[in-house]
Amino acid sequence: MFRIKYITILLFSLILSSSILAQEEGKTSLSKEKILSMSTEELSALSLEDLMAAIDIVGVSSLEELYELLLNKDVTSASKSEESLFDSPLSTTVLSHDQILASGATSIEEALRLVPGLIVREKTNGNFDVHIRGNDNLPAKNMTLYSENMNTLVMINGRPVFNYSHGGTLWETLPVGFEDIDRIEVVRGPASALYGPNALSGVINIITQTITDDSPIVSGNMQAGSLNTYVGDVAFRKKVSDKFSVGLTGNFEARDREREEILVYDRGGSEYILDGKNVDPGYFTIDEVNRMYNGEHRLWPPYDVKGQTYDIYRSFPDPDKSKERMGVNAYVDFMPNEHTTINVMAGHQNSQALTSSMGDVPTPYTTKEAATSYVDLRANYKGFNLQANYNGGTIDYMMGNEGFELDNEQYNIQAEYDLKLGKVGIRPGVSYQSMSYDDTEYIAEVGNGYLNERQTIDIFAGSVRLDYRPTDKLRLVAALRAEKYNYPDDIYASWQLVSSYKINDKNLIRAVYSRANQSSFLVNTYSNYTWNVVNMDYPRIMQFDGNEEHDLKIMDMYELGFRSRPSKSLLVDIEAFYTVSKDFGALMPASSALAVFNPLDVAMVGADADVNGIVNILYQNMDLVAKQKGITASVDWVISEKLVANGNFTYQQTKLDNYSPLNRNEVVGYQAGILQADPDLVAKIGQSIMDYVGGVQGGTINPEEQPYALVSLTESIPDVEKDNYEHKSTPSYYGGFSLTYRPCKKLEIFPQAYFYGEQSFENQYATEKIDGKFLLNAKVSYKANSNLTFFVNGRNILNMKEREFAFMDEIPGMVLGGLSFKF
Amino acid sequence: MKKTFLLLCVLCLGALISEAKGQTATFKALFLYNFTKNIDWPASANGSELVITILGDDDITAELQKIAKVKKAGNKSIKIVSAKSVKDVGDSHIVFLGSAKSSLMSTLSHAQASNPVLLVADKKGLCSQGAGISFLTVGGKLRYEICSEQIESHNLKVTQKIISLGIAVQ
Repeated sequence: MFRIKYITILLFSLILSSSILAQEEGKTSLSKEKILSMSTEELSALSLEDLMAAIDIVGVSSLEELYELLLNKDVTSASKSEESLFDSPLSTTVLSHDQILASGATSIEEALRLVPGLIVREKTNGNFDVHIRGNDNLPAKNMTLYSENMNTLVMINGRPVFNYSHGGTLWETLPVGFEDIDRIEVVRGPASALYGPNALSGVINIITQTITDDSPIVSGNMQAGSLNTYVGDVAFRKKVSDKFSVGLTGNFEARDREREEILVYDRGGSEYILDGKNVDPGYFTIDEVNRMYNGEHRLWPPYDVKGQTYDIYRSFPDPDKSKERMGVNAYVDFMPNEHTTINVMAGHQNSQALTSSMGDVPTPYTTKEAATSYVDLRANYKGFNLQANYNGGTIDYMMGNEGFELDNEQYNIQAEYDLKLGKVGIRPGVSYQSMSYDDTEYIAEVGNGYLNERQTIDIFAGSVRLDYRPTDKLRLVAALRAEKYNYPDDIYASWQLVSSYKINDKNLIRAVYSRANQSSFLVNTYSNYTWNVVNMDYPRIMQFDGNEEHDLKIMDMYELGFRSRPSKSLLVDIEAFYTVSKDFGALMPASSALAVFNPLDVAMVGADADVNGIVNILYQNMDLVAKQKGITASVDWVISEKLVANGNFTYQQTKLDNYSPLNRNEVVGYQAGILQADPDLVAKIGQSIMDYVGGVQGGTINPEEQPYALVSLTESIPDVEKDNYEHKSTPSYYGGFSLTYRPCKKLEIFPQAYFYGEQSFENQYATEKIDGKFLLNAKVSYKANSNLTFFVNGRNILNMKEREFAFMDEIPGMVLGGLSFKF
Repeated sequence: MKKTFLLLCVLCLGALISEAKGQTATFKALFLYNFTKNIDWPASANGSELVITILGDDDITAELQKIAKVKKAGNKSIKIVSAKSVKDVGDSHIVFLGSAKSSLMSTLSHAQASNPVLLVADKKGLCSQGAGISFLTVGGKLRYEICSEQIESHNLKVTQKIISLGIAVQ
């Protein structure tokens, strides 16, 4: 029975494709045949105009076009100048605009699943975690903040889109949509030498389209489907004159989550009570969380900030919505003469995303809200390049939590000069970056935020890149960058040393040794946050302090690469890499103290002493070293005019030295244990009260500023570090494959798979095991005419719902339908 | 899952029917021949033969040899030389750099800076690296970019026709 079904389909597709093929050939076969039958002599006798006309009639075979499009791409981000991807000295992938649309990806983050070496996990509908190669969730056993990818620099045309307050990328704040994009270039491995800090595992450079005479006046895409998901973008482009082009684009996304409830997790010793009954940690509605207690304390107590109530309803204004964003962008390209180009891009975005939290709250979920604008200027004059941009606005990293809403201003300016001297190219450059964040407008009083004022990080850097071809086959690249920060007051060097050897036109081997560093982030440097804890038993006060003189994390990489193009239709790329990351840092317990919080009451009224803890959390460097070995292989195969196959696979293993198996809370608990085990504790309590009263009476202690009496202090940290610990947050294997099948010119079928192995996520509260997952997507497009394409898009069509990111939503299958247009 | 894979295999079989052959090498060779009719080399370049050196493209070498057998450039016979490296490129009227070797354009241009030669690249955008003409595909059609400045810096003269039929680039 099955066989008949499949044979019928096969016969049907054979007949369909051959009849359509005959149709297509029929139209032009006469003149084309004539030309193809002309002799060499006859063809050589044609004038230039006639030759070109004849060539146009025959046309470039679509197979050759496919080879060019898919296997002969150009890339700019690896060497900061255009070169064939095959020759790129670094591990590089280019995703074209058409590939992104063909894949049916509903967002830029999702499209990155097509790139070898990328780990992309969906947290809630449309919100993704994107990592290059791994090093996920380090240091572990701490706040979910450290699961954010702080190792990758995302850029739009070289303009960094990075969150310097906590580190990481807020993908929902990217102002661009699909129609803005010409291609996405991903370079894997440390690239700080070329692009500045935070490019440790690589860079993702989104390059926008150039406006030419061939650009459609208006183009766009729209799709809608499951979970009320709406995604759309539109672009208007016009080359007004030889010197002048303008463009205007807009994009939006709106999506629902698959549930409305949020998770309340076990924060160690929690006793949750809802409506008088004990409940286990789990998913609850916002109303239920509002009524919940943890022991005696209200779980989400409301408080007032500048006349506004900060409660759970402010934290989760739309618990059923996962993502809502819109962006607009304007482009002006100006070419005053042949040697000069000036590009100006400006825009604005608004977004709200319900995704994983960066802080310390009873739920791993948070709502982030952002409204930012930017301006980017790029100018080229002969070999001289200048880029200057501004990005600023307001971002609330955890709505409804005082201290997490900040105004930010980022300025970047860089100048580079391309000097070509025959076999050597030299590119010196200077850059200046300034990032300022300010929370003062959004806190009730100084001390309630973690910055409590406007703070700035400045980076001044100089760089040089040498590209030397001593022979036709050998290429040596050396890039060096030196950065000077205001805080930490230090100079950081990053580099790239590459040698590539082109054995012949079809095979290239390369070796890379590079280093990159993280920048300082405002939280790490300037934190000054006093958390008066009201929803847990212990401690009473948690003081978070930044560290102005910490070391910045660095990553060294050793990589061997091999590229082969054994035939015109096949491209193979293999990368073997070994990375060592150190100088990790995190907000970690530095000391714990016990204090009497009602000393005057005890002394004067004989009340029971209210003894509780004050924990000082300081941004500190750790001895942790992460060593990762891995190998990525990818294959691109143009099987025929109608069928293209792509596949990639990565295997990696990460081991940690000086790994501490205790989570942040356990260290706090350890310190509390030491303090409470003190045999002299009772005496010290009494003494502290007496000293306090004495101090108040003597005028040396102001009870307004210091309402507690310090009893004892410890800085002891348990000595439990382990070596060679296998890091399980990164799956040991991940990859994907896809087919592009065009049975006829109007129809395109794109099945695509993305998979990863199991992982274990450790934060300060719990460890969660995430099963491996196999996602199958398929997009079927029908090109009605040259202006309009309709499609049906299935995401996760096998409906493998398991959550992809610890403590986040399940991700069910989705179906969407839509269209793409261009006029 | 199994069913999906089977279905895909079946579709693959259906797809492997037709394959069109490319004529691109023939056309590029014809272009190169045609360029000889539209460019003037200075007196210093005149020898008994017109030399076209190909660096890294066997298909085009073969096509050019077919043309060289039956045609002359003016009254000079055409000699096709295949070079293995930039160093090996001897005195030529035209040097064609195969697409796989495009990264060597800078090196080639530097080595040939003082010679009366037309440098032709097989990849767009190489004028800035010293190419006088670069082939490219625009909307499925084979075209060429032409940079008069680069060509004139080698003491060659071009006809207005060849500039107007190509894409003028600086």
